[in-house]
Parts: sequence; structure tokens; C-alpha cells
Amino acid sequence: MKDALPILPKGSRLVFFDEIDSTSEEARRIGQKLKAGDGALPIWIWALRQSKGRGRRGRTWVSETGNLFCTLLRACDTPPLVSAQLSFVAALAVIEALQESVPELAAQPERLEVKWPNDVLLDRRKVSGILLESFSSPSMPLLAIGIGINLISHPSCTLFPATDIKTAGLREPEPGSCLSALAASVERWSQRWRQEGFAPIRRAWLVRAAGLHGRLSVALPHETLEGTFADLSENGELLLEGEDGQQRVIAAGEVFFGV
Amino acid sequence: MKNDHKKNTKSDAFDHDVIRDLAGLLEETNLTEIEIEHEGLRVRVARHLSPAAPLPVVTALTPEQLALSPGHGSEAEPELVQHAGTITSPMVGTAYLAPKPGDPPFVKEGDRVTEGQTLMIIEAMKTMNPIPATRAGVVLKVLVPDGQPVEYGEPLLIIE
Repeated sequence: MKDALPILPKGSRLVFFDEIDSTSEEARRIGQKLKAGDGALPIWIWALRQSKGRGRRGRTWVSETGNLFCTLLRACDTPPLVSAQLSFVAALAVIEALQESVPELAAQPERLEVKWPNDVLLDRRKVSGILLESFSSPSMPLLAIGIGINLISHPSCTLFPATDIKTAGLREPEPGSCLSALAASVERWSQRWRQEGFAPIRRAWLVRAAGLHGRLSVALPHETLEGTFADLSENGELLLEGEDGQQRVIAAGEVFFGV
Repeated sequence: MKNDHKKNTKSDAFDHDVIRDLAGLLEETNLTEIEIEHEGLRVRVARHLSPAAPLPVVTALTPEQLALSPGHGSEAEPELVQHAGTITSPMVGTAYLAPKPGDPPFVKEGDRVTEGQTLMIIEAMKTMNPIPATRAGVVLKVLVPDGQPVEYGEPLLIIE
């Protein structure tokens, strides 16, 4: 059943590939061709392999068969600051999807955490990566939420240690069934976000936050900051408290623990 | 929490034989994609085509445009910040002047830009937000260096 298709929430479309350069690149191409009011969103784009999977700032996302590579293309009808909250929605959905598709994780939910803002960790190693990209099509503003989940393999020699479901000694789900759970979970959390705003998302995220109140370093493009992970702001920024008690608001950067 | 997706029956899903048949059909017919709909679920099977990436618009400068470039350094900046063509940051984040490290910048001072053209990217919470030109014109000044954290409303760039 390796290629069994996922079951998606009503109204979603699926675009499936054996292999594609990158599901997020495909999202961009589909987005450019969308016409206003053609009612075709949201679209899940799923590939068994990616030849040019990518991460943040041009990094490569190793994309071997057996892992999940997908992108959700949706309308982006909120200002950028608000749309960025979907980063946290997506992370919570990945956690929930893993708990649903891996029985052991349903029983041991504490093994899953989230590293600010949206890297899902299993036993403190990165098991999923999420990258959101907003862009404009001729007809409407769009948001592509790219999600990779390591089910049976993970890259070595990464800046932050990685893992996968199988290596962690768990029963790995098929990518398609993992996508079914993920799509349903994204739908549920998005609905909650639309109806109740960021507050419940922030609360649920904080419950899962790795390293909260602990020491962190945050790598920015030109400097590395150190401090205590004080809180998540009302907008989702990381609040890092320095030695001097001053809080710094961080909107982008790479987090490392235990400095 | 409800598990809505579990209410769906297996009959809602295509089995993988259908996909294989479609993929075979693609080969036979030389089509690039086939899309079918079945009980509300639509599936498209496509061959991988090489993407046609849009090329950045780069225009050679005319002397007139070059004359618009500021040549008088920092004392001009307070004035420039008030300029009607100032693009400000819609959020707190980090500004990137190029698509990825090592790439040429989206725009340089003196470049002619069209409305909607991407000028830079602001990253916040792992969301990449392209900042579009709000009008056509010439890039008079880029006000932030690459990789710089920016505040909400901070001037990023001026289009003349």
C-alpha cells in the first residue's frame, strides 16, 4: 500500500507526484496559474521524492522515498504578521498527526516537543521541518506551507541533530496515511485559529515548547544571542532574556539548547 | 477533539492501482497531466516538467536614472525616510536582500522596478514574506543591510 492515497478534508484538492523538484516550488507554479474564484483551494501537493527539496535560506532538505514531503497551498487573506501564526498552527498539527499515526507516541506524548518556532522534535532531535512562503499570484495572495516529516530516514551532519520515526524505534506510518492525519489536523487547528485567534494556539504551543525557561542560543545572520527563553510573545516572537534582565524580541533565528 | 477525517470511508480514497493506471496512461498518451474527480476528491497525476522560473527584471541604467542615485551619504537619510516612495516593513523580522545566501540581490540602487516586483524578503516565525514594490520606479536607496533584524514600520527601501 505504499502509494495509497490520503483521505483529505472535504473541499481539499490533492496533487500527487512520484517525484518533483520541490512540492513548494510546485505550489508556486500552481499558484501562478490560479484564477480568481475558481474555488480550487486549499491544495495539498504531495510527492514520494523530491529532487530539490529545500529548507530555510536555500538549505537542502534531503528527500528520500519513505518520508513525507508535502505543501499546503492556501489563500492568504490576513496581514503577514497574522499569517505567520500559521507557522505554529502547522507545528501543532504535525505533533498531533504523529500522535495519531504512531501509536507509541499517543502513549508517550512527552517525547514530542517543538523548537521555536516550528521544528518538531522527537526525543530532542528534529523529526520535521516546516517552511512557510507567502507570494502573490495574479489573482490573489497565497501562502505555501511546506512540511517535511522524517519517517524512515534522516540526514546526518545537520547543525541541529535529526532523527526519524524508525530510528527512534517506533513503527513508521506510510507517508500517505501520515498525510491524511496531517491534513485533518491542520484543518482542525486552522479552524480553531480562525475562530479564536492566536491565544489558544500560543497556549498549546507553550505546553510543547522545548527549552522553555532554559538557556538558549539563537543564531541570527550576523550574530549569536544567548539568554533564557522567557516566553512566547502574543505574536509568536521568542522572548530571550539576557544577563542584564533585558528581553529581546526575536522574530527569526535558529535556536540551540543548553548553552 | 473530533477526528473528522476518520468518518470518511475507505471508498473515498483512490487505491494505488488507479494512480498507477493514470501514470501508465500518461506515458502512453504523452500527456503531461491527467486530472480525475471521484466522489469529491480530485486527483491530478503529472509528469515532472522543468520549472519555468521567472527571471528577475534587471534594466540597464540610463544616465538620467543614475543622476537620481543619492551620492551624498548619510546626511540625506532623515529626508529619505520621509519620502513618499518609502517601503516600510509590515512586521518585525529579518530582512534578506537576496533569495538565498550567495545569490545576487533582488534589486540594487538604481534598478528600475515594476509594481509588484519583489524587493526583499522579511522572515518572521519561519515565514518568508516577499516585500513587493508598491509602484513602478527606480530604487533610490536600500536602507537595510542583508540579514538585518527590522522593526514594524521600519523604512526598508525608497523608490523614486
